Amino acid sequence: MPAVLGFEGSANKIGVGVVRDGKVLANPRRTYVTPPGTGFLPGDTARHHRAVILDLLQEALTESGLTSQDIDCIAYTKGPGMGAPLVSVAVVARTVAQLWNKPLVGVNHCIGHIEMGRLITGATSPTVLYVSGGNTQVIAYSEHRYRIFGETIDIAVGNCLDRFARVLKISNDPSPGYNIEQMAKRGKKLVELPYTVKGMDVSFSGILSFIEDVAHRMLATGECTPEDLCFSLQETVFAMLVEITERAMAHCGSQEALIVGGVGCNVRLQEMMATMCQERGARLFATDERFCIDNGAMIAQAGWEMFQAGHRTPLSDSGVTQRYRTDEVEVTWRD
Amino acid sequence: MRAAGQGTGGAAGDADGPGGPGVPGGPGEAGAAGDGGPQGAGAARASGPGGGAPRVPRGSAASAQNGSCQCGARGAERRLVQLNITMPFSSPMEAELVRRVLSPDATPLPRPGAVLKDFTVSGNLLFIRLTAADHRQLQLSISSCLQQLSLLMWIVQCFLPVFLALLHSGQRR
Repeated sequence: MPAVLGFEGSANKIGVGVVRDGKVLANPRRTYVTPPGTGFLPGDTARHHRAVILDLLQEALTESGLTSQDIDCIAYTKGPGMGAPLVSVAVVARTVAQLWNKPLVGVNHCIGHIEMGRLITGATSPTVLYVSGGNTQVIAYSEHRYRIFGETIDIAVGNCLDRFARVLKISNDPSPGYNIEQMAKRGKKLVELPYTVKGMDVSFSGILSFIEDVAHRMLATGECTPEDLCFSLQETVFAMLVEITERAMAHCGSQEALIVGGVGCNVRLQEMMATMCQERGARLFATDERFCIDNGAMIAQAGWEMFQAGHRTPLSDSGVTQRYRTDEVEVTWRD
Repeated sequence: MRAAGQGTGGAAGDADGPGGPGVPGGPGEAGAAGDGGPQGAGAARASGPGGGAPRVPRGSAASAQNGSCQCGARGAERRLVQLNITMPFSSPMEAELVRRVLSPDATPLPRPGAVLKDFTVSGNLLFIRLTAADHRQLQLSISSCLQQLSLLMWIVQCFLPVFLALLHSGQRR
């Protein structure tokens, strides 16, 4: 019954998780929150992670009731993500692996989300909508790879939402996306925004440019409220995501859809996806904020699968990779 | 859609800076390190078992160790800055452990603006060399490197007793 310790810190969340045989034994996390109107920079984020990671490690061991000798493998996020935060966490993982004499496994962050989603929901072979601040992909498994069927051609949907939040100086606590979601619930007017689906792919940079351009004018003239803009942005971008997911499901003949990633916590997105799935006679799976948002347990879970399948990452290969495609990994732990 | 295997793997590059252009070339001509720039960073403490402060004398151009900074020129258009830090540990084993931890992120892909990092060990001494195309990149890298070293030493302090206990009990290869 191997137990795996996982380190995640590719963006502004840092988490340390422990997983053993499909059970999450610990999953503490901290978020680096910046003032309204600002985003998080690599150096500052890395500094935050370095300041809290040891406390998180101790917390994870205490919560799981395990000691270093009970851990069988150390997993860490190899990429993709922001360079400085990735390095700061990888350094800790390597040190711990050497001191405890445990094997190291470098995990693809996207696959961490997928494997945690599969574990928690029990979905067997879903079409995955992976949506976060850094990634937007529609993924399906085929022949030992998680294949990318559609994706954003520019910025991630979460990045679009986060940067819109900065325009309106919406608070980043607990996250800009969450606060946009709460404001959107009070929106009444649908403002027409550019809808940009290109085949299997989506584009959000134009929508962002447009709304950044018109927001202040429309608010100043009283044409709409900030809540209306939040509502309109969500409805537009989520509809685009539902469209490309449905297209992938039709292509694959899939009867299951799984939403993962921080934006997957959004209840409105889940509602829209559920409507689409219902119309197709498919099932929708989603997790709650413990596992949707970046966390250490998802890295531990993916690391567990990889460890069981015989994957090991030698120290010499344990450098991080800011651009690490989901389909670069050979998924040897699935048939 | 993207086909499998088209992903571009990229190294993390400079841990702190924006990761701009340029791979620094060779060290070129050594310059005097007497201007007191990056030496301030070299005076940062390496807190940890046996870790004293990296020695940063105002060295001559020939001094390539102990925290000296060298400004070099390679042709009229390229100017390199370099910082060397020497860090003592309480044992060769610890020095080698830290070197192995820091080395995987040491050499970025040849990209403009990347900071080259070199880690070597001799006995219980860890030698760190940072080479950058400009002072600002070097400054950012120094800050990041020292903070990582500080964190590493903290982890080693926390877990070294267990490590040594396992070593002595023969449970380590």
